[in-house]
Amino acid sequence: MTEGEIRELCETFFDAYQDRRRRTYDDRIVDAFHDGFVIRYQLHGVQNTGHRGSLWICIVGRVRDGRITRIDEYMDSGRFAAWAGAEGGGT
Amino acid sequence: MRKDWQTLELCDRFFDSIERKDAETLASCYAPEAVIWHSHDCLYQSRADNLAMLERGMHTQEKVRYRDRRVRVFEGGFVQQHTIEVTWANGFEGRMDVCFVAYVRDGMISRAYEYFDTGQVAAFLPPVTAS
Repeated sequence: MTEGEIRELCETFFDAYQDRRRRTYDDRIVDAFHDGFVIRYQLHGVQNTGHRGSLWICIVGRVRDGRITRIDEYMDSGRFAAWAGAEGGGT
Repeated sequence: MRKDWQTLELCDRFFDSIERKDAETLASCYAPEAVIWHSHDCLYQSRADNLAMLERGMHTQEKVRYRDRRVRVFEGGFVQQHTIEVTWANGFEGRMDVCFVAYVRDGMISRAYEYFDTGQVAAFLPPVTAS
């Protein structure tokens, strides 16, 4: 699998979630290596209350035969409540 | 074109120098324009401020180890996933999972992005005791 194909797979993965979750994965920065990728992005969300939040997330993915076999997600859970509007504030 | 092994060597030299408390080697890993971003405040830190912070850690932390290093090199940089283990002066042993993404220019780190979870801070920093 070429690095270009890995990049395309990565884009497809995130597009698949976008419609269902009312979230957007913005400012995606993707770097591909021989058996995977690292993607950094800003997760924007709009809650039913109208609260808008954003959160930077980093994912390291491993790929075999054109499919993702492992994901390590780095997200600051300490900022998640603010992202969701649970603390009445936003990031 | 820079070879992968040169980037891997830079990555190892960077983290090994922190473990060995070798401030001179650590500084040599950063390009003059280097900036370091952290996920807890989403801000870029200057080279000088970051080096000062790391050097303070060399004095206040008994031991630092980067365990379970998983490194991948890509065009223009590398990503390392690790668990940082710190033995603090009071004996508390802290640990945190970290992802470090670095971009390299002329054999030095020019930009770095460090992701960690402040939700794990209780397992990383020693508990605050009332004085």
